[in-house]
Amino acid sequence: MKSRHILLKKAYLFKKKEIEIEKIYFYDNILGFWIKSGSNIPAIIESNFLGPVTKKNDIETGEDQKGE
Amino acid sequence: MILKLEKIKKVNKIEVLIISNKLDFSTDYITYELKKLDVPYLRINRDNFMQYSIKLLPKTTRLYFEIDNKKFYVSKKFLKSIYFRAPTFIRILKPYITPEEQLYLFQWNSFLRNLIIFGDLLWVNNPVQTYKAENKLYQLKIAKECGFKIPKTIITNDIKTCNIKRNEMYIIKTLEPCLLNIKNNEAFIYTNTISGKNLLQNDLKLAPIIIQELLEPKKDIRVTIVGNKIWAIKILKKGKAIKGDWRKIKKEKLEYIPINLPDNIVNCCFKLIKSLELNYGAIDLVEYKGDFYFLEINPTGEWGWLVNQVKFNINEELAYLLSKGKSYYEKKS
Repeated sequence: MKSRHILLKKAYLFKKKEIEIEKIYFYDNILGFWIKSGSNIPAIIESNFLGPVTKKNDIETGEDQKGE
Repeated sequence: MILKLEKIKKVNKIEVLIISNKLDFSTDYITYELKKLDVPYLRINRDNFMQYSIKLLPKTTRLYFEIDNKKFYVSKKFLKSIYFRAPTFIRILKPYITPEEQLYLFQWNSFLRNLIIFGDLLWVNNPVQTYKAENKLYQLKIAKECGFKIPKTIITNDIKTCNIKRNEMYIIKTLEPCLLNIKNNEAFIYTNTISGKNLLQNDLKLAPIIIQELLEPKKDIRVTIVGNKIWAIKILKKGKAIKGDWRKIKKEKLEYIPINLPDNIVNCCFKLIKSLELNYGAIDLVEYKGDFYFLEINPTGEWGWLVNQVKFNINEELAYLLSKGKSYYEKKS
């Protein structure tokens, strides 16, 4: 039987991370950034915000897989 | 500094148009900086189109946009730059997508690509240039012309033609970032190290691969360029160089150390960016036996993690570049 292509054999399966940001933050369509609910603090400068600690949350480029 | 978050008032004079998605937090850094600079901007999220009312007029190059009963007007008269944080290649991971999802994807992606009608203003980056620059083999060719050393590279679907040595080790990788759906799981194909003996046992007729000489021991270097500015880090694991693809290592174990590149390598990086007609690029290099080798450039590569973890002010420079448009280069070069 023909074996699988080497790239398919090397493919790394990962679990997709669920993001529950909307429980704590809301997105402002006009300002174009996330804000902590009940405050005027942008999420990216809020101390508890786990922002882009690794790569873009965008599976289309593959960049988000770096550092996983 | 916490700003008073009053809404943008100069809605009729959008100067910076941003194409992104709602969960792209790196874009938040840019919109926040633009807000601080008091620059009128508009962020359009690719996953939010159904909330918007949009009208684009090619004859006059005008875009009318409405959300939450707020009207925005984008005209070439005022627009200085476009931050195009969207891929140029469509990748679909789901095994099945509905006709509605297909239509949304194809029509809106085409709409975004058609924003090139805004033409000769500052793009980060223009999708036409991104489309070219995302091709790894083309990158290698241009990087070589720009003075970089590049690893010996073959692209093939027939291993028997490649003079592979059984006792040597090689790098194999995909021609582009390869995300797959395998048994309803998402899968990514990293760069892998493989012996010549193992490689020779494979049939590659299904799809070509990139085979490169193995440069190890090596140090991984990430270079980020925004306009005239450059930042670089070396990537280590517990103080030591990393074997193989550093992306496979858990991020808690990685260390990012800011470094200064030699002048000739800095020059090569800027030459490459200029040759590819980009205003932003994330370049991966390795240092091997005292020489710097070019691996690849990503024109849509991520940078938010470098702001967050290394405290590089990439966000400020990107916002400044966008706010100035093409005059950025006149004033700073």
